[in-house]
Amino acid sequence: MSGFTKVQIKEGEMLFWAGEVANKLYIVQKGAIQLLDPRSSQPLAKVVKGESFGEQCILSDGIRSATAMALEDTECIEIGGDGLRQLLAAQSPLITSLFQALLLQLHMHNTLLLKPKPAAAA
Amino acid sequence: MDTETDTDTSANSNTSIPAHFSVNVDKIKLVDVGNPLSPDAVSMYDGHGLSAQDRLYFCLRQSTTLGHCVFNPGEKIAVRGDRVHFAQIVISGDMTASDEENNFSYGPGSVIGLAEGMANLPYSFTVTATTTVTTRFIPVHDAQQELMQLNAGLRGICRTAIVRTLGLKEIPENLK
Repeated sequence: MSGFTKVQIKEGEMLFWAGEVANKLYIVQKGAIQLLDPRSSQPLAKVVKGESFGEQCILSDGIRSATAMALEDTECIEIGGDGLRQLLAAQSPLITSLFQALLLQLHMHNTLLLKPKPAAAA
Repeated sequence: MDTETDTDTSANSNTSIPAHFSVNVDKIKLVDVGNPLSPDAVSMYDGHGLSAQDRLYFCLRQSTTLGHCVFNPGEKIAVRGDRVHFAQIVISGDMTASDEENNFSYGPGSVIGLAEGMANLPYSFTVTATTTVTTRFIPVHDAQQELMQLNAGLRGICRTAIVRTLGLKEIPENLK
């Protein structure tokens, strides 16, 4: 994986919009990012230092399903999707399906605004 | 279905119309029925005529490695609190889903139990087929085994998706 770049986003600025081609993954170094539902603009998740977002870039034809906005002045490391996609391509088909299905489930939960309540194991 | 995702997020147990999730199957059919390499199909796929979830569904449905399952109307696909052995990706059909407070309606593109299973947590929702439902399934134990062998970067992305999907505050022990 190469091509790490630092990006600075000012409070209130958008880093990317839902519907854009996803070709980079981000890791928050400083500040915080809010992921927003593109239809309702409701917050989906707050991403803070050490956490990543933009996972759609791992798929060769991934597109953004959420909009990312800086909640404060924020610094992120930007990782090109090409390297991640090469890594994924070297894995088994089950792993590729796992990533696709996890991202689809995440999207489903975001769409329905699901907040699962833990169930006691039967 | 006119919109990319047919969704009503306002519903809960106090309303008569439950929130609904489904990919846009009609649009996807335009891409892969007939000739998937036709100019229209290629144009739609390349031109982002498909939403993020439509594309993921399209890829999963075409998978040559995942097994198939069929559920009859009235059959339970998942029971809240039960351990997840096989996560289901819904290819066709309709379902209801419920926990202690909410009711939802699921359609094609819904994913049942994957994040929970990967985190060694039980099903969050009871899901019942209301029509004949076809799925592709992921054996959770196999997926967990392969995840542990993965490069740390990819494993981290997977972990993030699981934690965010389930709204967890901490990383589950088995994914650390």
